[in-house]
Amino acid sequence: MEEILNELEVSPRSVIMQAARQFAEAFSELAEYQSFERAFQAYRNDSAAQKALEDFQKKQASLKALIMLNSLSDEERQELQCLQDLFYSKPTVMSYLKAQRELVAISQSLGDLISTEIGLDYGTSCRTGGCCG
Amino acid sequence: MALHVGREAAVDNENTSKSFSDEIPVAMMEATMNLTTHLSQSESFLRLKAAQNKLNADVATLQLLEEFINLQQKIHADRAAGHFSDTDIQRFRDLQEQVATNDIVQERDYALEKAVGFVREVNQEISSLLGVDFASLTRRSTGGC
Repeated sequence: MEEILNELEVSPRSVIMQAARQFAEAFSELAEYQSFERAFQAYRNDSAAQKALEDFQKKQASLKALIMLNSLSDEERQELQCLQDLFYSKPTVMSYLKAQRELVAISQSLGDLISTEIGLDYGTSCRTGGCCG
Repeated sequence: MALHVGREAAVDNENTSKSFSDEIPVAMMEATMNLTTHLSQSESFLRLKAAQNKLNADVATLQLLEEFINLQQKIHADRAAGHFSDTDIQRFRDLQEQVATNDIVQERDYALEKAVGFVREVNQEISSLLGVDFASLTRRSTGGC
């Protein structure tokens, strides 16, 4: 095995980590990333959106057992749906989700490119903690 | 560069069909190719490539793996159809043992494990700077586990 590792052809770890940092720097300058950052901050600073999320999560938690048993009444289901709709109707939430979709789209393209070039599925390789980790 | 360590994607990643070149800026493309070129030339990846080449050149090991995979699929299909063959199970166990003790397979698996570990380290470096797990953004939804 040793004969295949010509020192002149092996990229040192320090060089690879530097390339990783340059990659992160370039990524942070993407329009999609910057839009996502702005949308995220706007969403976090929107007290009405945060309250809507809290209301929905509280109701969802209070109905957790019934949801798991699929035993919600029509009224409870409708109330939960209304709270969810209210949250998703907030402009900052919509902007945040749109920015996130755009960031995910370009990240997926980059992930595909990296996977093709290195011969390993990048996203899957970086999974930890089981299939959904 | 803003930092939001631990922030997770809030929606499932949707499949997209755009190609790389029509949406990725030149600087991003250059940084990506620079990273993948160096990553492919890392010690971990060169060892993986050598181990895989060695496996691909060994006909007996390839046949062993092929039989193992085919029998595994047959057993799954038989189970789904409500069938069960003691002979197949016994053969599967024999093959499993042979695969587990095959030096060439073990060498490849070990090299793969090391390469995956290194990719994770690189992702950690990228993610710590971005404040978001970059790899999680790259995954396409496959409709569950």
